Amino acid sequence: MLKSIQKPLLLLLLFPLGLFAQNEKLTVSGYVKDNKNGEGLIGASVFVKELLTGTTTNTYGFYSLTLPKGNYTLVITSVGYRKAIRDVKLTSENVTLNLEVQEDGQELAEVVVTGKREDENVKAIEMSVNKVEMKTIKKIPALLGEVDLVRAIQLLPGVSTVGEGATGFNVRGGAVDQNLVLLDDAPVYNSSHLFGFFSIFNPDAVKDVKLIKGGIPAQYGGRASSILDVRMKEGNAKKLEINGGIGFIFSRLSIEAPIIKDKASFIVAARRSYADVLAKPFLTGNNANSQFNFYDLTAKVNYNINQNNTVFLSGYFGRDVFGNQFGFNWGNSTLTARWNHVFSSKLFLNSTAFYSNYDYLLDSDLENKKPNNQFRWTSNIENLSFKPDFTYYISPNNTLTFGGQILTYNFTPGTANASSNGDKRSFGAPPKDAVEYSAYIGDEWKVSPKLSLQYGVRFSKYDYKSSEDVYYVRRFVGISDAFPSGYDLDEKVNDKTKVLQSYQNFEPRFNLKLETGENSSIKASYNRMTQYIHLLSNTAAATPLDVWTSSTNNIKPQLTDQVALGYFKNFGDNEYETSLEVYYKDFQNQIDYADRANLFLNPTFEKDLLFGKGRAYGLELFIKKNKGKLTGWVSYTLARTERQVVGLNNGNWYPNRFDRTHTLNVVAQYELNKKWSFGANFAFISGVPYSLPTRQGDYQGFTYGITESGVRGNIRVPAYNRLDISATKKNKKALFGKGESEWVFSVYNLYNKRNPFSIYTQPVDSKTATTTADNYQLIKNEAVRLSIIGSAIPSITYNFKF
Amino acid sequence: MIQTNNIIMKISFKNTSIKRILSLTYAFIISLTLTSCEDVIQLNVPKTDPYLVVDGSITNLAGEQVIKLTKSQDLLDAATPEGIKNATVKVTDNLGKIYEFKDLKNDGKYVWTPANATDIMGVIGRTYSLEIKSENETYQAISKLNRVPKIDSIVYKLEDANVRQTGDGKPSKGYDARFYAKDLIGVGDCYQIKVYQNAKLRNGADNIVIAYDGIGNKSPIGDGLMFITPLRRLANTELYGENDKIKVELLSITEAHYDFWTQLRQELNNAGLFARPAARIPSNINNINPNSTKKASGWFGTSAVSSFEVTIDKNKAVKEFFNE
Repeated sequence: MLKSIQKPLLLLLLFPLGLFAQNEKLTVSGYVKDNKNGEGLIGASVFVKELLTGTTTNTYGFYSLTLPKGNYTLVITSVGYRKAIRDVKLTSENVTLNLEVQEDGQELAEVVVTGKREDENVKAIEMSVNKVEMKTIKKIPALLGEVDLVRAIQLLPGVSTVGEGATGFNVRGGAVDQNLVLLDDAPVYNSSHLFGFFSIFNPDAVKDVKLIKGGIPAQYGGRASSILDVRMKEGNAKKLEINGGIGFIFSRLSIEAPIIKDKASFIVAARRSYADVLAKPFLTGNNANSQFNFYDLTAKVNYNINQNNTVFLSGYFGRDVFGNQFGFNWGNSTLTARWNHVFSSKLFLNSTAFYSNYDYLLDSDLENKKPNNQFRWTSNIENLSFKPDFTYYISPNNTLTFGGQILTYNFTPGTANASSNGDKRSFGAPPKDAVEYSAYIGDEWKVSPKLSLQYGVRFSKYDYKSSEDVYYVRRFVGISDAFPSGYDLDEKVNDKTKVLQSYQNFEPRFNLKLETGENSSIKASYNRMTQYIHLLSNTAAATPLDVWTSSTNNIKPQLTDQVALGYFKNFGDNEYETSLEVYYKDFQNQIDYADRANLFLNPTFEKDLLFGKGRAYGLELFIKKNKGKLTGWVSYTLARTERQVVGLNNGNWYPNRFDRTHTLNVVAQYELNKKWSFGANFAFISGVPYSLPTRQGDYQGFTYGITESGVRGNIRVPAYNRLDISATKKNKKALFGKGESEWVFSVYNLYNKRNPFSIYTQPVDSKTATTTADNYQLIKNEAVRLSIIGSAIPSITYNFKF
Repeated sequence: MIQTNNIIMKISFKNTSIKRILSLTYAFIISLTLTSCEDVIQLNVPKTDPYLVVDGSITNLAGEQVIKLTKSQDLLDAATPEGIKNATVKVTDNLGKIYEFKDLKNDGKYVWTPANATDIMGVIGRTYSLEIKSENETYQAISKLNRVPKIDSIVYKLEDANVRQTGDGKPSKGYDARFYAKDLIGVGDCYQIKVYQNAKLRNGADNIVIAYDGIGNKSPIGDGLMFITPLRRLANTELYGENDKIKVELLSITEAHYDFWTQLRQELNNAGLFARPAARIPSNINNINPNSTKKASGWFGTSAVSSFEVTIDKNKAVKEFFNE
């Protein structure tokens, strides 16, 4: 398969390069920015009226158009902004044209409006991509009034979760670890605070969010299912701006300001939960020292040195702390440095260096009072990376992207340190190192006004090293109670200085767009993705303490192939966007777990793993209304995601634990007047599969479930439905008579539905049961339905801005 | 050293415990902020053909030995399980001695009755084979009777009830107790610890206590240790009152039996956000015809037992537990 694709693909890649050598052409290039805060606009359309051609700005707001000599009129449009028209004389030399556009007066100017072209749904080559403006996200009724990017993403077609409160999200049948969540190019390994209730992204610091579910361009790699690309604000380059809010859970504050006007600016944004502060008076005795809080800090500075050089430095630090003497905490931290360099008006470079760390800690002594008598378990995954990304604007019809990445991994799956009266011991699974090298080239080629192609290939190589003196090889010994997976491990001598296992993969990518009318198009795509890291999790919802692990000699990298086909149509002067997409995805080397798998602090966990394949397919319908007083969308997904693993479910296909047949989401926002606006959100979602024993037996007074080995998904949790509403009242003035402010009132789960998360059996009143030798007492089981949120939850949030 | 493992055991990095900590924390947070709830529901469960369920154990204590045979039920069946009658049950030791078990009351409880009340069936070091013939099928199980150390002492102290010991009419003040015993040298001794309050076994999923050497989880680091604190604890779920009789039984079990208990405990506590797919609880009862649809569950165990008993006397209570 791979080889047969490789050759024609390379030919295809090289072909447009022949178009380079054309004379008599000059380039106009520059940045498009918001005139109020100086933020670069992403995806704004720059259209050449005379030639009926154009381009869009990249993620930094940069555009470049190489045109035959002549005089042109450029029309710059972007949703939420006034149309800008500029005349350009391309007669003797390249022209630099930076422009600032003004927000549309009809829009309420409370937040940054992400630029994008109006007819992007139909005209852009990308498919299976959802962009949600922060403005929209902020108006979706949110749990406890906390604006949440990740929960907003879950309202889009093709996205689901295993249930309310679960960590992460699932895209087109992929597991939670198959999403590459990027915050300013640095990967984030856990996107949730408080398990899955709140996301780690501070809404006041986010500029743009893009979810790529399919047709993934060659520049992205490393995860099997999707890319969630989150870009932070650069900070207001014009004037001091303060945003903040007080809610039930968090209070937020962000400050952004120019350092040098129009040249350099910064943003610092912080949030902290304060349930612990409020609960403090009620916690007494053993609970008095309870700690439970979560916080995050986001900061970014940028400096526009000159027309050709801009540097950015951004960082994120977030943490969740829970405990009562004994406790745990976890968090992500990232640091990204970027340098945008315009080599020539046609060649744009973004170089990124980043550091990312996700770690967690279990501690017997959170307050560190007894350092000599302590147990501490730490686990982390750490990255350092450098990646240059080039964009070469050959012509308006041809844009070449290429680049590469070196990404180092350091895994500490779990190290426990115990100290007792100064006697220290350390054990657990030893650290592992890996390096992922990748290089890619891709081209977007407008073959004709109607037909566009985007194609490319990514090559990745992964070198894995173990720091142990030994390594293990799996050997099949047959499934039994002693070996539930059927495998035992043989110990071999390891040379720590050498790469133990190396993998390499070609990942072809292909997109096609064919316009079928003024306002409609057909798009098709194929992509292969490789993923070299794996999140080991055998619980219903992923826990923050799940272990990230490397591909090894036993664990092969995950591979997915996806084909998607879609029809896109806009109606009524782009007032309505609609799309219908179908996809099929094939997964290789998926990890599942044998009965009694032990994944914690276990150096021989590879014995307990099972490997298999997966498939996912579905249909996604999306109707979005962009303009008018009423805006919003309806998204419907019909989907199936399954696995087949030897040793589970008798070797038959079984549904993944996040498999949901129907998912319907309706999001509506209504702007009554300048003062009042309303939001509503309705969800109907089929239940996830679950596994229960089929029989029960009695042993020493316990009624226990009798389960055949490897049972998966033999029952389903009932369907889920929920309605949330919100109302926002805007005030002209905020505190001290300055700025502006708003009150947000919301009710989550308005009709008080006890939606099931899961169903399980548990012993009846096991705490009080006793038995004597003669008078035998038997503890029976009962079935229990767990609802994570069992009632309507009202909230009030106050937001302000200076 | 003992202290080290103490602390380790406090979080006992067995999955169950990690999950429990997560769940407890989770429940705590949720109760403060949100409104999670559990409702008991009716569930339609499939009809199943019964398996043979064995609950049997041979000990080195004097007197009769019992092997209980019941039919498995459909999940959530509230009835008392039906005993299996008319089975032939015998146990043979590795020296070839045969012990016949008889269903004396015709209720599925098969009993070996010694000639003299002081006769002992189980001998440390011997291997016992169980054979059950029932409804034209033959089932077998093998288990070795392992050694057990003696219990040194039980110590108690007046305490306020902690979170786990509160509620349901439990005393808010009472005696917390510890027992002290030392694992025998050599990796891989497994034990079950049973606690009786005034001759009543403290049962319940929270009171399943098993040990691998001196600690709770499978790891060579616990060899030869004094049983560490969580294992020593005899009042995990409820404090004792004055004049209560506390009896501890330490039973040797095989490593496979330890795995059985580990998984049984996991399945009984498998609930909530971090539940895992229902998994098979191991069984050492095998139908000699592997192709038969008649299957078996449960465990045939062999144990040496040592025990210790005290009556709580407030004058003998300690002020502090050793090394805690």
